[in-house]
Amino acid sequence: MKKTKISVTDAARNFADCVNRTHYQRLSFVLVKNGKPVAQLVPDDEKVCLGRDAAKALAKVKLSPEEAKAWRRDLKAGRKVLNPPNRQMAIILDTDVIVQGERATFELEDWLASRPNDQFEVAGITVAELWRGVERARRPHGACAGTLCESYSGHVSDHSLYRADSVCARTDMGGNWKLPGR
Amino acid sequence: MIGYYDLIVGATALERGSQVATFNKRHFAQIKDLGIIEPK
Repeated sequence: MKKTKISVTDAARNFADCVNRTHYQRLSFVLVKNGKPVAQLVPDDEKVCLGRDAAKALAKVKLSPEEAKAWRRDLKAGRKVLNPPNRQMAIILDTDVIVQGERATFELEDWLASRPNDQFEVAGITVAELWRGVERARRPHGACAGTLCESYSGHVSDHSLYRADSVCARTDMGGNWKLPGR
Repeated sequence: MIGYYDLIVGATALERGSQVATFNKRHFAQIKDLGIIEPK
């Protein structure tokens, strides 16, 4: 079926026309916002298979252990080669980048600002490392580093740091579990 | 030799399809297929 790209603004201005063309001419519209597809307008009876449809159908299938194993293997292999559309390659900040930013030997904030289109992430292990440093610090600098950790956690936790990772990172610092040294 | 923490960061990046920004390019370069960015 033919799909026509249209901006959200144009779609809103000509909504009735878009709906008519979808219904009578069997056209599909891909609504684009800032150059990226965000929604689709498709005929009502067009079959759209969602993840939940697939899960529902699969729940009815009785697979033998061998088949289930093979299916799981295929799914895993499929996921590896599948690139979600428009997925942006994120950048994970290594600990040394954050630490040098904190020590002002590197203008981290400026560098982050110079890459407005990139998405930055921090691994849970890095947060653990930073908190370990805070815990070990016995001078006023420790308090500053703690503030820094809070600051970066605040910046990244909403979209790029798993909440569980963050909690685990802090928990590990107070527990008996010891991370191997560098 | 690459450290444990760096290995975990590198593995995390590979699993998530991310790149790593680091000043320690020499170590991370040992991880095959890992995208590395050296901030400047």
